[in-house]
Amino acid sequence: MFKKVLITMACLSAGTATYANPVIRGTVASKCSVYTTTQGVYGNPSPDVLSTAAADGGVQPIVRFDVAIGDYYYGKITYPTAFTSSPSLTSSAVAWTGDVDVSQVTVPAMSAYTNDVVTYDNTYQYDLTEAGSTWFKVSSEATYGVNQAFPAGSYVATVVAECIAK
Amino acid sequence: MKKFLVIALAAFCGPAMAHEMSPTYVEFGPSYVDNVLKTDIEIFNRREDVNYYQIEVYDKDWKSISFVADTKIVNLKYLEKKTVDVYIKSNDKDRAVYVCTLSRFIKEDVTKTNVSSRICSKVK
Repeated sequence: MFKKVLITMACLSAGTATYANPVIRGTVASKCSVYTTTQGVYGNPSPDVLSTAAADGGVQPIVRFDVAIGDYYYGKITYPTAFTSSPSLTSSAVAWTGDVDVSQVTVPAMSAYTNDVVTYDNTYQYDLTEAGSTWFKVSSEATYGVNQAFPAGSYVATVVAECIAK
Repeated sequence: MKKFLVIALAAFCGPAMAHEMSPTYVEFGPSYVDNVLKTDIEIFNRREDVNYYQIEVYDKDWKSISFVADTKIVNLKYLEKKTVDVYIKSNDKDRAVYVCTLSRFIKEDVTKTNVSSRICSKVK
């Protein structure tokens, strides 16, 4: 009797396994990720200049924005106008310049970001209308006073990359 | 050609570091305390150089709004994911527009020009 019950149960479970349809579910939600692809380095081409330009011995920081669905976020990048840490110096005597530009895209339509950028102060705001990845390169240059040399030491400045939901 | 490929792979497989936050749109709902609303956000730290993220709540003019969270500075190890509850007063429900997370550096760890990342979700 017990054997019969076992056989019936085994058949039933085997039948169930035969008809089971494994399902893989996934959802793509709107999401933004900010990647730091390259950390910047200041070159010191002359005593009074710190620059991220390759020609000046520097490295431009590169930031990547990934958006899962287009038209949900603004990407804002702000180049520095002050040192986060540095040797003691008269900050008002430092003149800052900078620029942000699209350096690489995964969707051709993203090339339009360069022309559609909104700039204010030292911030560049991009409307991330396309899904995918966009790389932005940031340049920064600090010039110290008139014919004044930057004191020896370590200089650090911060680029701010923001992803703001619309 | 082989050399070129190796160099290209090395260049593209570098340590990209990311800050992720979801959802894009948050909704404040009732909490277990009267006149206090709650939402939750999820932060994923894929930045090796960052272990702390600061939570912020802003109005439409980017003025800070007072809020309470389990902790306002969240300690997140590399590749760690955390869900954080954020509470605001019900009076501020119509004022709160953005809930953000901002990467924070420990001062002594900062040795070169770095990138600070902020992601903001919008309140529905």
